[in-house]
Amino acid sequence: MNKKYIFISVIGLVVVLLLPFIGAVKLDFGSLFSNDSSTDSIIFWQLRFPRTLLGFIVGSTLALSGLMFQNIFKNSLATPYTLGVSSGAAAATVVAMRLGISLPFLGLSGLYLYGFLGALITIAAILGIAKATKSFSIYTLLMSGVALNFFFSSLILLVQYLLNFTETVSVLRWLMGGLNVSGYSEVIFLLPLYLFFVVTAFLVRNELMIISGGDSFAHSRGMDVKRFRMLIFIIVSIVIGVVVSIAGPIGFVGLIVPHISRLIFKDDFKSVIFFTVITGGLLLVITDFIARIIIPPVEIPVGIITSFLGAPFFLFILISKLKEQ
Amino acid sequence: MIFGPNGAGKTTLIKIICGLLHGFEGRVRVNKKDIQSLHAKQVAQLISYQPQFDEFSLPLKVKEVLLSGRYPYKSFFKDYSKEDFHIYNEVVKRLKLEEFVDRDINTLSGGERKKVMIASAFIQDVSIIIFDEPFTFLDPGVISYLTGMMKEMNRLGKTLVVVSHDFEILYPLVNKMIALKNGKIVYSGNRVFDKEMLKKTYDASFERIYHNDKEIIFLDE
Repeated sequence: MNKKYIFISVIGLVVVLLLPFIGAVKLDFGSLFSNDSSTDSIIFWQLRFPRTLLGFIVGSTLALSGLMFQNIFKNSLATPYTLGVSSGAAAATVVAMRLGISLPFLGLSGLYLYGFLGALITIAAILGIAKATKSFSIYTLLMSGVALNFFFSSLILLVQYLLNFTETVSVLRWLMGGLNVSGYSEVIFLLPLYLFFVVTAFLVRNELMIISGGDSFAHSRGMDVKRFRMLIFIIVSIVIGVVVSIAGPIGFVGLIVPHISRLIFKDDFKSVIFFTVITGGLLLVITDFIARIIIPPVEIPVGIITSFLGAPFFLFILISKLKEQ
Repeated sequence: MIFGPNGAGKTTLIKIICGLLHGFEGRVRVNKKDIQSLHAKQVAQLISYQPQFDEFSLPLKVKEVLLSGRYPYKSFFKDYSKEDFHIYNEVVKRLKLEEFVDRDINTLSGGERKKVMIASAFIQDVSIIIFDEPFTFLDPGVISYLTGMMKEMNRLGKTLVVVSHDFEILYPLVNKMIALKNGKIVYSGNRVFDKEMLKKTYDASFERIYHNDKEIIFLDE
């Protein structure tokens, strides 16, 4: 088991360190580490390297969020977006784009702030519905999420309809999800939140494991099921709100990575968490790499690639595992 | 034994006893302690609830399910202690579950799952075990295993509360019977065969016979 941990960690490290060297522009290795102002050095240190780091953090966060949601809703089809938090963030961002308001915030684009506000509004709406119906059951949460998802999707379509052609294109691009950053402000901003999130997941691993056995099972083991589910919902939603504001709604990672981890690394739930964190990051870094190089010099939004390559890859693993049994 | 027609409120009653449902009138006292004033973990050190169906849908190792029986004794930041593993190993050995511990709970048969849940009640080390219709869908072999385990639990001084309609299986084992109908207790007392009471509860007649020394209750059609 220890070997598996080391193996996947080494692969993760190698991929993150190696992929930024490859891309549409061939880099002169010599200038990367000596001359700070050369074009090659800027491409590597200000574009590709922070982009890879951001990709790892975003992918890892999406995958871990998916895993946590699947367990607290004991539903293997739950994704970080199931409860509408990301469509809330997307709707708010699109509205802000339409209105042309964007106040820079801590050195980050002001649009991020609106995305995050949208996520908070969604969280408040779901908590409000739960409180009004005095029910914090899985059913209430999922159904409220479905309703909110539809509402925000229509809002996005409405705003898009009202936009002119150029604005529509930029909104569409944002909705496809992407990791186009320059410099490290996004990475630095996300890093503490990401570390907090991963540590939290490991701390509550027993609770996450037990709650997946159902409410009465978890309760009879002495868990405060409602409070735990609410706590995880709020933490995951806030984290997802921040990530979606920055990278757009990148789909699929949050759905398949937990499944891949469960299929391949099923020693215990602790190792499922560990592999979800690493493979989530790796999957997005690799798909983003493919998005960068597949039709040079055009960069395809990574959100398209994740589903495009992720779906067959997932089916392949699923079928080969089913054959094994 | 708690019995009564479908929809009489049996499951609701035991969920209230376990502290799963709130907002009712009256009080639940277990060993002189008010259940509502206890934390969920404290309740779980007293009572183990065995629901009619388990709801495992995501893959989980049997080992993890069993170890979760020690969760009520664990403080939040600590991992399971040596003592927890000792109790776990002892029960796994005693109930001969070694071959199951590394399997996914979802790959077990209904009978094997029942065995695992019984073992988890032992691991939880509680004084009261509540079963909700434990015999549903089980083959005779598993039923006899289960009644054997119930006798064993009883011998160890544990109180068993069983919701069931299976008079044929349970009647010889019980020492107190409670009949529920429309949310009200219509009978409460020692084990007694009362044809009228059973008829009133179920709108069906029951018969009692003796086979050698064994007392058997069955539905009279």
